[in-house]
Amino acid sequence: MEGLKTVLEYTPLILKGLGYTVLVSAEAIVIALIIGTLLSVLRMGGNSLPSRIVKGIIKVYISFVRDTPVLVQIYIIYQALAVMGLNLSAYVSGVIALSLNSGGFIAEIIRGGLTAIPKGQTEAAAALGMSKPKILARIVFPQVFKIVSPQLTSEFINVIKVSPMLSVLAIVELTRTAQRLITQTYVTLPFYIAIAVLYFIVCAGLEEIVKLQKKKA
Amino acid sequence: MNDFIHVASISLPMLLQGLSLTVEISVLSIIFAFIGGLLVGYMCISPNKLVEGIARVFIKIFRCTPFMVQVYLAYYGLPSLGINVSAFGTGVLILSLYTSAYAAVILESGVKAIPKGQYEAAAALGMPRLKILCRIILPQTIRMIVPSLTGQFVQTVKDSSILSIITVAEMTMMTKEAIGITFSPLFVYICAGVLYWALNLVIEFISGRIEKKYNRVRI
Repeated sequence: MEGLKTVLEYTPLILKGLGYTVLVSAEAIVIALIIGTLLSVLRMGGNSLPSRIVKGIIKVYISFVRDTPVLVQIYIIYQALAVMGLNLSAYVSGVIALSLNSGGFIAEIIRGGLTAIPKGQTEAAAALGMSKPKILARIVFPQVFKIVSPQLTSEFINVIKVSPMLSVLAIVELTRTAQRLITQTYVTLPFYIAIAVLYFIVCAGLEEIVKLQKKKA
Repeated sequence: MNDFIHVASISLPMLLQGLSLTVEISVLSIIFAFIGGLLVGYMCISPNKLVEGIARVFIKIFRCTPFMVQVYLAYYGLPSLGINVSAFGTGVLILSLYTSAYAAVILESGVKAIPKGQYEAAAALGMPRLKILCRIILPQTIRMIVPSLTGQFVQTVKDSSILSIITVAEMTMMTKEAIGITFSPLFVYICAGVLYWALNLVIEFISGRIEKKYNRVRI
């Protein structure tokens, strides 16, 4: 009970940490969406040598992102950015790492959505004289995003669940906030329970949205 | 170049030592999670609403909180419950529970994809419920869910890296130690990344083989 009192005392700080978690995840998912869309557009190229090379690189990138731990990816990006001489804050490199990771997953999600668009539509649009970028922007992608919207929300949940790993870079999101308060107050378990409950509320709430989106589709 | 060879000669043995523990943790967790997943999945399709409810709550809790927070909770929570396990034991336990929640959902969706007529036919022949599941439903389900189950097990290998925060000396932890000696973080982290990658590619390769084999039998 003593622990609960301590946790309640620091509620404003904890909620601020939660705000940061949501902010980091939102920024990461928006950038990831751009990366994912870009990757899937680049993947559509024809069979010429340059586009085959690009496709090969993207394939390797996605495979690496999906088959290595996010924690290792965060460390690699953080160190790589430093070696490249970019003096970015931990926050920025954290967001970059999360978006590069999630971008690989989103590219795969969009690829799944693309297969659902009948080929006749792009052919019809091309027959009407629409340019390729216009076909993608006006015909294909609006439908694709509608189809994959439940998966994109699920990916947002994933990003939120991955975001505690940013605490290793000393980014003060929810988990790091809890760790700081723990070293201050010597109360451990109640803080971890509190943040687990907060994460649960956010993720379970988003899961309900996924269900609604699936029903609508 | 000489620098890299020097760093590699120090760090690679450490990373490989960590890799062996990563493999050990992953294999144990995957086995336990598969058993746990079967159990929880079985509870999910139970006619008893209370049993089903318990399983649903279990799944919801483990799927809707970050694994890292679960690891911390287990590490600090178990001793205060009077359960004293090593960091390794805690890690395997929490990773198994976490993965079994996902495995249960995959198994359940597979079971639901089997036509209902098969249950009814088996029941009409007088087979008991458990026998219907084990002999008729499960063999077909497993065949169907090999790809999603593989994806989950790759996830398990990746998640095992988080156990480095509770002092389990798996590959990520050993990477940090190697960096402490060699002072070349980027190179050693990339080596670790490549090793994880290779491990998961092997898992995917094996799974692809299993899939092919089952598909051949089907024809």
